[in-house]
Amino acid sequence: MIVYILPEVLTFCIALFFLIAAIKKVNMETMHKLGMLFSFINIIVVLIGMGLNGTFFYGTYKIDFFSQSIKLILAIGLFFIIFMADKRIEDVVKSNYSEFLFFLYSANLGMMMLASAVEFITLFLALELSSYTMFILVGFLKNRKISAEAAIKYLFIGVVASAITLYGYSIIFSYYGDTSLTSMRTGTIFMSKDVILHIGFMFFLTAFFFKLAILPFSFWAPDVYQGASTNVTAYIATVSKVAGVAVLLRIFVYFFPVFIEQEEILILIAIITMTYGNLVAVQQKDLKRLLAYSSIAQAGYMLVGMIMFNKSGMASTLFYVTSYLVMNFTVFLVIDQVEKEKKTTDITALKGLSQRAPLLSLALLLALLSLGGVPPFVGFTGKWFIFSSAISKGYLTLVLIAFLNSVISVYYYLLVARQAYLFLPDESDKMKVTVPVKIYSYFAIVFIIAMGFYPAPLLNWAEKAVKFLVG
Amino acid sequence: MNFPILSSILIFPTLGVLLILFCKPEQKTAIRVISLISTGITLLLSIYLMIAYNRQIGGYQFVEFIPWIPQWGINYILAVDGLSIPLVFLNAIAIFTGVLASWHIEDRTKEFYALLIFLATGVFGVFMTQDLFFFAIFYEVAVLPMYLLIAIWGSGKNREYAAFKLTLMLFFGSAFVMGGILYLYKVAGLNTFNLMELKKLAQFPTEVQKILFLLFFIGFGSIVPSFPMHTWSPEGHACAPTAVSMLHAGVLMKLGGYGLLRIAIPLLPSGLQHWAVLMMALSMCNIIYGAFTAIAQDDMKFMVGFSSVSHMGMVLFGISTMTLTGLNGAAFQMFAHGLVTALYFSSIGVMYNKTHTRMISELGGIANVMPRAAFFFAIAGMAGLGLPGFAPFVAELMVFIAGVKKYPLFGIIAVISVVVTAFYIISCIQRTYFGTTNPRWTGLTDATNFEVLPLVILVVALFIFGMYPRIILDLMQMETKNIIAKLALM
Repeated sequence: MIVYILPEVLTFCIALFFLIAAIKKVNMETMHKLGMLFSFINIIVVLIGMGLNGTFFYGTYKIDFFSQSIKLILAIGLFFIIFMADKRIEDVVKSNYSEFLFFLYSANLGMMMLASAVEFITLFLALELSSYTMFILVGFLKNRKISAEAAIKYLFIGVVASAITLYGYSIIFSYYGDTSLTSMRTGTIFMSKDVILHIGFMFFLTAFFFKLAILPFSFWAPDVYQGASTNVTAYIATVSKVAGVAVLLRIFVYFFPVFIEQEEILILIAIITMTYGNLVAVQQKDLKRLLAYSSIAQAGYMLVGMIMFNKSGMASTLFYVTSYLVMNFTVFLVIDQVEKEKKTTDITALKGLSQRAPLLSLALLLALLSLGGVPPFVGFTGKWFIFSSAISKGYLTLVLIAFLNSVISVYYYLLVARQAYLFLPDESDKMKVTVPVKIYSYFAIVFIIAMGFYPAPLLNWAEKAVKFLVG
Repeated sequence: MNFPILSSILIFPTLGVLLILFCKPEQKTAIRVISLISTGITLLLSIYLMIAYNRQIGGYQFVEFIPWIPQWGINYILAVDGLSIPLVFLNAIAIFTGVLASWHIEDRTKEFYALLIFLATGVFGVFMTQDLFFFAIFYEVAVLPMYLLIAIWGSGKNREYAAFKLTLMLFFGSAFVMGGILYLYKVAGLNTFNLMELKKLAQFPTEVQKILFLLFFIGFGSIVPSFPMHTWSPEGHACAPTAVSMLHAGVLMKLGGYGLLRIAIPLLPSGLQHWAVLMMALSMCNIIYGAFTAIAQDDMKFMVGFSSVSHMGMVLFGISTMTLTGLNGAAFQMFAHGLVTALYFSSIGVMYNKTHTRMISELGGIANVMPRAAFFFAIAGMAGLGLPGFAPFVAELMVFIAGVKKYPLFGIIAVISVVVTAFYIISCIQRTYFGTTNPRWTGLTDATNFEVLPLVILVVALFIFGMYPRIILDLMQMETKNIIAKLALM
């Protein structure tokens, strides 16, 4: 059995290791290298366990191709984040680097468990494990007021969302008397049309909507994105989204007879979320705030794919969120590089980037356009799949609104790209870009273009994962 | 398998872009030569296409088919027919002369050429692909680089505003195209984006056709540009650098008309019938409004921009007649207008490089100091106002014949617009190039042989296709006949 949950066990051990290492103040750079090494090993371990199938702990924990794929993405995402948190990180983080890694690994452990949990208590514990560590990570820059404020906001909204979820679940529980999602799933087909039960199910979604920053549980996003250290923000914006999508996919698949009744409400939520995010993003002057609103909008697109309740919609959401991880991480990496140099995340910090660091700014440009859904980049292809699964159910208006939304988003993404390309830099020297960052930039450029033009490998993988999920 | 000639039309420019990206920014000559060679090869290939296309058989030829994502009905299909070959050729000639015309660009040469050729590749893709997914991809690839090209290398204070306006309005239009394509895919129910198959098999209920056609009309109409979505176009032309204006007015605007003729009309004939009157009304706005506004312009590029609005109205007007002559005229007008505007903008560009102003009121007597530049602008003007012997004459004549038959009153109004066109062009030529020379311009030197080269190529093309339009017309007619057959079935 240990083979099956080896990735989780390993992550747990690594987290413990860093907790213990925190007592002895080990050099930060060593820790960084160790963190990278461990997360790399983690990726390999997940890869080895890719084909496993099974249910454990009295039917609470399910290992299949879907859960393992999500774990793979999470592990890769963690690797990216640690790679980004190099020695130029903020001093506060630097002096507590082991703790920082401990929390990162713990959060990742929680998210890995989220991908596999098929029993409510396990699911909730996993959710809280990932959320609470995130609360701390957001407040990690303790000398900054804005960071503390963000952490408090995140905590309050998160706790409220969790409480509502629990309440919703208690309603569901009163109907079923069981906490196993799998056994409830077989029962849902004979579900009563009781209004209270449906309300219970809608409440049940809140904590997951909170994780994905879907309206009305998205108000934390701008403050948290801005207040947290850029590494943490990147983690919230990329890895955490994947986990959120994974668990929502599972819930939607397991209880689709209930949610399909609420499809109109969910569609409305999706439309409001993307429109709100896009419209407010237009006004932002701070890069991280802008990306926060853009991530709200993106969550709206993802929700569209998930609430179509068909395999193609689910697969395309998985496709999209995976590519979203790469695109968004690329943007954050560039912001982080610039922030480390200029100590600000104002949009003008990017001024003249195309002259000072051509490769970085090309990666930024492509990632931004891809986020905006411009072909031939992967973001467009992902959206195309999502919207084509939406239209296969006949929602023409929804698709038109979504496409028009992406036109708005192109505007503000271009506002960012404009800083990098249209203006000359104030400094005359080239920006120092380390070799690993360059390698990543090449990877991102190739990924964004190649997957945009030839999405088949990633799409086939996503379809296979969804087949196992529905299975 | 035969030599994949269509793929090579895409691959050579792409290779060119890649090579340029790996050049150092200082190696400007190398970058220019690479661009010239890669676009030159595509020009040769597109000429070869025109010769090798079998006119007896007609239909789609040079078909390349690679399954791409079978479960989603997406295939990589390239094929050309009589409608696309002339436009491929037009694009090839526009980008080739565009590269020549922007030889003088010193600022960020590398990025400029990379983006310019990337843009042209997108346009080639649109004209050659027969799969709607790839159509959507190429369609926006053709729009996207415009933003940077205009905002960085453009001229005038307003260039950023113009670039934003252009990009956003075109993306706004393409949102409708994308929605339309997806909806079409769903309603057809064949689980394929393969346009050739859709044309053969798909049946759409009349009500759906009305909705779908409207979506495509809004989408493609905003790039044609149809009134009232035209406002991006004169502004964008005026602020863009020469080569970009050439490509933009010469080819990019044709994507709209092409999209209508390629996708919307053959698949949704009842839709066209339903909306034809609206299309005609809007096209009249284009023709009249564009022509009269052009009179009032002081900036030469703005004048040409509005004249483009007016002339592209002819394309829509031709389509809205729903007759063979009208469609032929519309298709040929796209081709002819492409050549003329490319010539307009390149000749203005040659002059602007020396004078650094395009304001008609500031210029005057330029012909005395720059006779060559004046000569080519005059030729463009004569061709543009429909002088027999040049390609636009043939196209406009056909549109008018069809128009007067179908809508007598409006057809006659459209014919009268030619007088307005003649007025603004001749008055522009008179005020700019003739008359007393403003002492400010006495020291100017004329265009060099090299600068004149792209202009000569364009004039030769204009003249050949004006004197012997059948080369193009026969090709286009093979496809327009099919479209008319579909319309007649309704």
